[in-house]
Amino acid sequence: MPAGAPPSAARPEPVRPRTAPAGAAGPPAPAQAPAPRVRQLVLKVHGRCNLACDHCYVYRHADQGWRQRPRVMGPATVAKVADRLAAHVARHRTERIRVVLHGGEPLLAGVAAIDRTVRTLRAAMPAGTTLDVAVQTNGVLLDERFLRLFHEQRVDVGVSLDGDREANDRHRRHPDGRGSHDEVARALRLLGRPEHRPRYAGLLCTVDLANDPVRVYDSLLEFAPPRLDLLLPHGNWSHPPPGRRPGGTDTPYGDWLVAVFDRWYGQTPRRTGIRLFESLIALVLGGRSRTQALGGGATDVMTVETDGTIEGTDTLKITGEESTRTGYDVFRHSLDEALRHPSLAGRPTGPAALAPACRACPVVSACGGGLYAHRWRAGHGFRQPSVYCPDLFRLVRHVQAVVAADVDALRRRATGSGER
Amino acid sequence: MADHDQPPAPASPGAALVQLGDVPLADLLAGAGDGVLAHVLGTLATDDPGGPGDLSAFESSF
Repeated sequence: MPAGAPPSAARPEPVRPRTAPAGAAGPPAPAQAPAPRVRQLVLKVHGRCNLACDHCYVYRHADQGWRQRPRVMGPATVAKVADRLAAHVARHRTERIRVVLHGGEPLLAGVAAIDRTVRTLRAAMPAGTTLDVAVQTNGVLLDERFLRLFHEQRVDVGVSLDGDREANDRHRRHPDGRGSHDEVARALRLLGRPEHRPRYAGLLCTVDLANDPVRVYDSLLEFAPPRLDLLLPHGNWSHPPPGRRPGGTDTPYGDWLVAVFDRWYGQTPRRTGIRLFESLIALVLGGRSRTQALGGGATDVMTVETDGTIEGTDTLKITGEESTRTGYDVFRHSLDEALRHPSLAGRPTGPAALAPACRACPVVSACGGGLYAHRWRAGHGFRQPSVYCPDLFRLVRHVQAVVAADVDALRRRATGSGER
Repeated sequence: MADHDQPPAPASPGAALVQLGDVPLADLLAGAGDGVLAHVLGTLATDDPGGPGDLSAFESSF
């Protein structure tokens, strides 16, 4: 592999025997590692969606398990989730835990069911544990009734939007083909009102190469989001993302992200937070990531489906059913038992999880191998560079150069050795 | 870069690619203004390395 080339230029890592079969305990964690714990629980309160987005990993990718599950998470399941979560946080003396109400489209569950769910969860928490609750919605059903509930129950609201009408409606459409932008925009204007803004968590935007990056960013800014999450479309070596040629050296997604980064970074004062970029800046400075997409941190996200099934990080659905099926559920198993599964904390993390080419890569401390699900290759498993490797390499190098220049200027200013 | 060039030393996870140097973070922050870099430096100054952080499960969405 040429020096300075991204790790994906290396040959794929051969498949290795699984350390544990699906459904069995994974390899024991190193003795010095802290006990794995759940920091965030993704709760599938409704299993269907009112939109039919053609880039959705839940309905359009390999795992079609949603077809066999109930539409709504019932009260008995919610109660069991609350019991299991309470036992888990008590055992680990967790001070803060987050539950994300998710779907499908969670608002399809209705005001009463969501109210009941949050009340049940809060009532179960032991003293000394703070429960943060958020909901991730497509926004179509968001109205004053839901917002009243979210104020009462202190639920933060994240909304999915891919840009202006043309960009958003490229994928986010109703089953009959109608776009959703106008309805989402109405919801965001409501959420952005001063009385509701305290519950406004941010926007989630999936990158599409067909959309102009700066135009997308500027259109999202019109809704004054406190934070933006930019997601690369899910894919892997066997099911490549749109426009990403596996193993190619071109960097279409890296170029797209760099264009947004430059626009965002150049705006003073800072207009909004972009989690991907702020994590990357922190990482190049030796700090921590706040996204699973970078940094290679341990997984601490668990998913509970509408039937009480426990699964790992939701994004693994793009790799096929075996990757996420744990065989555990909240009725028969504790969260600690489920955590041992290879799709959860039982999976390798840190350098052990990386391909040899990644471990030798000069930007591994920032990239961390990328999102775990994006590394998968049929017949080879997860110990591969990300299918986005050249794009991540391009982005990291760009951010590193920009930050290095600015830190150098700050240092000269602080020491009086440069121009003022 | 040509194939025969020396490859850069790999950076282990957690290693900084950009060094802040020996100038105190507070001094850097004092001149950083109110842009993006100032914000991130501010979070670095207050980050609890053992804390749960603010990792997003929102990104679990499509």
